[in-house]
Amino acid sequence: MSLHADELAWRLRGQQLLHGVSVKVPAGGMLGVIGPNGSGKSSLLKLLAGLAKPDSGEVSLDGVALSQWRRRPLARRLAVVEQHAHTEAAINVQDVVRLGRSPHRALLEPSSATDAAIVDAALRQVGMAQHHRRPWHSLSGGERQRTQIARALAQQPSELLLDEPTNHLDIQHQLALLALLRQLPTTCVVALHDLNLAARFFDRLVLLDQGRVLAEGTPEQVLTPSLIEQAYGVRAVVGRSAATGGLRVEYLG
Amino acid sequence: MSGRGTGALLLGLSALPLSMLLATALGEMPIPWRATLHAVLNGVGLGPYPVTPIQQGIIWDYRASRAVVAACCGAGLALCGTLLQALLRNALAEPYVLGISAGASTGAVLVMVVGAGGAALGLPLGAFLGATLAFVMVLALAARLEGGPAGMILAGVAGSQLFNALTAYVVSTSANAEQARSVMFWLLGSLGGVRWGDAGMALAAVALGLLISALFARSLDAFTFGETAAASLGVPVTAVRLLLLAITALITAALVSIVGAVGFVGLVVPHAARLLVGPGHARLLPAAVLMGAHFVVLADIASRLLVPQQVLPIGVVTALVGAPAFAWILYRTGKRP
Repeated sequence: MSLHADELAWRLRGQQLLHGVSVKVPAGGMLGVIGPNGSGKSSLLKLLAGLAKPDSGEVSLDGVALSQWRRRPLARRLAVVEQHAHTEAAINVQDVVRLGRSPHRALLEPSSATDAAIVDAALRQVGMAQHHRRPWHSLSGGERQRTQIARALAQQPSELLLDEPTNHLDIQHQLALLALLRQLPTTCVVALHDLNLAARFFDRLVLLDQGRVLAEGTPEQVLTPSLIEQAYGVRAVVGRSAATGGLRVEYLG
Repeated sequence: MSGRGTGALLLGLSALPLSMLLATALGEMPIPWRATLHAVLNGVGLGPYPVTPIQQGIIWDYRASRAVVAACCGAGLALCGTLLQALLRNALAEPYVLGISAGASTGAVLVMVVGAGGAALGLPLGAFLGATLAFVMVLALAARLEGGPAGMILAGVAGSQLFNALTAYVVSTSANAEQARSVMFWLLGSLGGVRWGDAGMALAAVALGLLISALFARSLDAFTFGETAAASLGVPVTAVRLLLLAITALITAALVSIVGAVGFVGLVVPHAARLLVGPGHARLLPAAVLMGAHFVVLADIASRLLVPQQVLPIGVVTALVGAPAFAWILYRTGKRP
């Protein structure tokens, strides 16, 4: 059990975002975080990444509380891809990915050949190698997302946290992205909206509703008509796809 | 990491003594080049060459110290602008626009008028306190406005106006106004009357600032996508921000107490440097520092030559170049979503 959230409660600007959320992230697996808008997915990811402190409860990595971790060693273990990445800098793809090497280098240590090789490998993994010189501002939403994922991979994390990475991607790139994450030896925690993608690519799911864990388990355990109706207020039937045999959610409105 | 960037840096570095020599040679009293060179060589201890004491005094004590202060002023303000633009992620951030220079002016003026004699240490310290106060006020106001880059600039306008009014009030009503420098000096900046003591302080502040900033070049790069992204890349965001913002307050205070509030250098120069060497701070910091130094040294020459028999405040010349550039950057920032 590498990453572990225990009874997290978090209040921000007078709003209770999480009420006692506990999550175990299986090492090396894919954990999907689902739930309606405002259910606390982004908040949970933020706390899991150590980017904010919960009011009570604790996140631990390898059994050590995140509050005990120093920032740089933590950044070598755990990488984050935020929902929106925005900059005004005239930076190119390769330089964005190079940022991922910064936690591995000492204050004035120059970039090494190993760093360059890791950056190249990360660019190839997300299919951006041929675009490495393109300026950030010229990239499409999907290309920006893949560039940020390459940056996260360049950190060589054992845990990778992604907040709605399939947003703004067309279906081809959504599938390619999730297939890529599945191939990685890395533990992935991914917040997402699409329940069919959640069913297809993830080992385990956590369903959040109003800052609480409504259900946790395999896609079969979590994606049931009653839980879906409870969380989203939408009636659904869950069956098997004739084409793939995988779980399929159909909405009845 | 292009070779072009390195070449430009080396060229800028080697051309700086030439710019400064030019600034030393030109002035109201015509002094031959040969005498200028000799006086400078005497000054740095490579003499003795035969120069009249008057020429030696004008060249070394008056013009050379002025050139060094001009170079430090440009370098320091450009460094502040680069740091502020990276840390606040605002293309328009610089000490003058954000009202930090105005706060430093008020602090210095208050020490000069109210303070009891300790002008040697008191003036820069007062300027530092004023700069810090203005900084905290403007950032707090900007945070409440939540208006993004434009909100911060509006907060800066409010801060500048307030502190400039305070400065003008204190200078205008002070009993010993003949000792105090003019309102004009504090609002527009002037290189008049600087001496080697000033140059030493300016050089120390800028060198210290550059050294510390250079250590954090990679952390500054990590701010490219914002503070959360920087934190997730292992940067202790709060500590780095506090340290580097304090450095900008320190440099601004040191420079304002010597030359007053000089505007727009910190705004224009980092943008020009980015066009030349790209956004990576390992190159951007030295490039901005060098370009800033050149810019103010040349602006100082222009300030003495533009109007015959008259020296314009240095801030007038930098604003003549800087204000249109400010408008252009504003226009470009506004166009981008």
